[in-house]
Amino acid sequence: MKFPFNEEFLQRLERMRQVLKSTLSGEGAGLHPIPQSGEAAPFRKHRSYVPGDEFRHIDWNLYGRLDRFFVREFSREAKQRLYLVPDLSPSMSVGDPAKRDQALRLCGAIGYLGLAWGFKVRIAYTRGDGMLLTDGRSGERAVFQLWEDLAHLPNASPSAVSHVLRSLQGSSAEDGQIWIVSDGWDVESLHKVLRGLPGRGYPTAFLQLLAEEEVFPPYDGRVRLTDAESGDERILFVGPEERQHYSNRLKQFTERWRAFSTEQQIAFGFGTNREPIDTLLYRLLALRPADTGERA
Amino acid sequence: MIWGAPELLYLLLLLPLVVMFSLWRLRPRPVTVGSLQLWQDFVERPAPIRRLQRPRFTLLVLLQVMALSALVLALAHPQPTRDVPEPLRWSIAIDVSDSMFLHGESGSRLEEAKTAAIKILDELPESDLVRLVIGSGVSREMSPGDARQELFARGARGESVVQPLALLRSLHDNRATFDRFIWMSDHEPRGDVEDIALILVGERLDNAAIVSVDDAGLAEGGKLGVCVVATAAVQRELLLERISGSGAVEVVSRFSLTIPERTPKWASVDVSRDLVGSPLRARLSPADRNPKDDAYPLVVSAVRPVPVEWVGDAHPELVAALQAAGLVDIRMVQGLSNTVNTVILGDDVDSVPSLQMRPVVVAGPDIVVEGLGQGRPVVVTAPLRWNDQHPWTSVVRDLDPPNLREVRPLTWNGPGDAVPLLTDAMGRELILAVEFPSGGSLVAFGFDTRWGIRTGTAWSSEPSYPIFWANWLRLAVGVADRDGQSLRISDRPPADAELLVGDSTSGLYRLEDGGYSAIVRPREMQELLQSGMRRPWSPDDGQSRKIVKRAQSTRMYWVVLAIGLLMATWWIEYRAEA
Repeated sequence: MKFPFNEEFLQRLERMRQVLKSTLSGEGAGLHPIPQSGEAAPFRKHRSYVPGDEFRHIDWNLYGRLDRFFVREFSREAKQRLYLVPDLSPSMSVGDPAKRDQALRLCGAIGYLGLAWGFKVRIAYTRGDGMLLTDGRSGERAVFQLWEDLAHLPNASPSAVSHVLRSLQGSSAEDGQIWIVSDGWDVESLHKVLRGLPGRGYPTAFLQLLAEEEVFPPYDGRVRLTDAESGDERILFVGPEERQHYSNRLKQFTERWRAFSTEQQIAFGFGTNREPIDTLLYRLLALRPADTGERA
Repeated sequence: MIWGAPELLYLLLLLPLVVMFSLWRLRPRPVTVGSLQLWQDFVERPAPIRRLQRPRFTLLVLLQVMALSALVLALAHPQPTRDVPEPLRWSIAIDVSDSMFLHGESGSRLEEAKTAAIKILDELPESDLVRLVIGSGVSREMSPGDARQELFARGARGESVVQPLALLRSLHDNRATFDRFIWMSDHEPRGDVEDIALILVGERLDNAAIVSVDDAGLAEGGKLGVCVVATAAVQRELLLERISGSGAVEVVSRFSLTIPERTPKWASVDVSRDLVGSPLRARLSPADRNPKDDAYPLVVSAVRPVPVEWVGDAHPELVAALQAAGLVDIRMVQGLSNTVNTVILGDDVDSVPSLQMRPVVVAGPDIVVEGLGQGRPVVVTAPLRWNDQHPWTSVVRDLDPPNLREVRPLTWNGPGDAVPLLTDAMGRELILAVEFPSGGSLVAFGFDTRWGIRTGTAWSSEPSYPIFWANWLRLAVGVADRDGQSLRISDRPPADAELLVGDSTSGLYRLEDGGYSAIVRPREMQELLQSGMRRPWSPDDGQSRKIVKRAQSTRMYWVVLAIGLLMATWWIEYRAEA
């Protein structure tokens, strides 16, 4: 993969970071799509109020019962870990540029911001049957190492993202935010593994990345469609009516993802392979849980 | 329908490629998708689009095939044939005048012409009709399958001495009776023959007249043209240049006839046009000696104006050798036409029949020719030494060459202008030298006894008055001088006058008052030739323009059709894309 993160893009990311810092600053790290109200963040303990504590962290229920000020403390450690999960399955090779490339670029940009905002960033991927984690990177200087890690990620088998997420939960990995960039075609398996993930100490964001060719099929006439993952083939005649029908189905497909994300408190975003990275980032970092995105 | 470029019709073989390409485009296009789940059950859907697409595909292929066909047809240059009846009527005219009976080792020129005609006839379809015109107009219709050899031989025997002019005039008068015309003549240097042949070509020009020439000295016409069995390459080239130089003639085919080298008895040196204006260099070697009579025959043909310097100067050793051997006692200097001058050195001129008919100037060994051609009269200054053994010398026995210096240029303003007659110091020699306002000149002088009058030779550098008319002028001058009468030159026959020689297009009339009137050129020909100095067969003339326009419009129809079909194809595809 060729990273487009040259000097110019680095400067653009830096400008984005400054802008986002002022508008999206929150508890601890500032990756905004992650729930920051405290409801979904890991709660650690109460402690007595000391001058200087923010009033919004005072537990008013305890004050009502005990007539004393207690402040709720959250696990700052959990918020400072960021797991990037790019989908590297065969279906991500579709599109021009390939969705895989766009996913890695997107992860590279998110990772840059995460490092800049104090996160410890790791990449979760599969090799063979096992889930692997890259070394945790922290500090702004580690961004190039992170990108190097991204550039050398191996291709994965179908359903690799589900496998990664399942393994991540079962491993001894510390809690942290999970950013998933995938086309989401493996919908059943993903839903199964994502269900309840945020409540288990993993605030999650799911970025559905599709190719323009998948959103607006450019072909006409008789086509031989080949599934990139299963290799199944289907000969179809594609005309305006077929394209319209496909568009309706795609809308339903995306709607299903959005509904699921809403239900599971997962931040949801949508993008395509040809959108500029910074446009995608602005949109994705402003997400609230189950935000449907603009293009869906 | 006939085709200007029928070989391009082979492009129609590309049509199957168009169909195959369209079928190839029909194959399912391979597309890799991330998942097939959204495309499930599409195959089982009723597909009304498919039923619409198939006719559209068929229509597209049909339109593309038609467009390519129309394009190929347009490229092949279709030409309407409503004016060209089928089968074609050919008229093959063979000149059987004297010069055609000149014999070489391979036979006479007439035999060569017959060989060429048979070759041409072999290529004609059986359905065509051929009219064989021999000399005086003896003609018969036959098909190419007839016994042509016999007919040729019969025709050749029928008339042995016929003027090509009469033959061509006959053809001209009957030009509506044939579709294609081939004239086979040795084209002795006579401007009149050229004129009429070219007018024939011009008037019968059907899109293209074909003139070609092979290496063996034979020029042929295909569809309609002139076939020349030329005596010299330079003559043949001059004629072809006149024809093809009009711009209306397109060489589209070539006969491959091999004619053996003719007149081996006469060593021939042709001077190319590159030498015009430079001294003529004639070469003669012992190998040129005629073994039959041990003489050195030499025919030198050159275009005018060529200063002849070789006599006495350029080849003194040759002349000296000839004289010492006693092989040469006569030299002839002949200024025959406005296109070719011939200098003949030899003592065997009896074997050249045309020379017996043509006025010549005969000079002795010490003859010096100054400025031959060059738009000025020939001046002969050498004393003559006559050879009484040759019968034709009597023709010029009375000539007094020194008095030819009396040539005086006159200005003549065209038909209707009286021409004063000139005589030599002895009151017998007749010289007419005319300078035209255009700068051209016409000179006629010499003597003949053909019609009981004296005549001579002439040449002209005036394009509108080539040698044919100069000859008539010369004749008329001779007659008028003989009788001491006045001469008036006109382009139309006078009323109540007696026709003495020729006909209404070029004749000599005796008027009631005893004077003479020479008709040098009929008014219509005059207008044709003088209209902006264009040839009557020019593409600019009405008939040619009409023919060309019709052919172009026919071609344009096909081009427009092809473009229309292509646009329809593109429009349908564009709509489909939209």
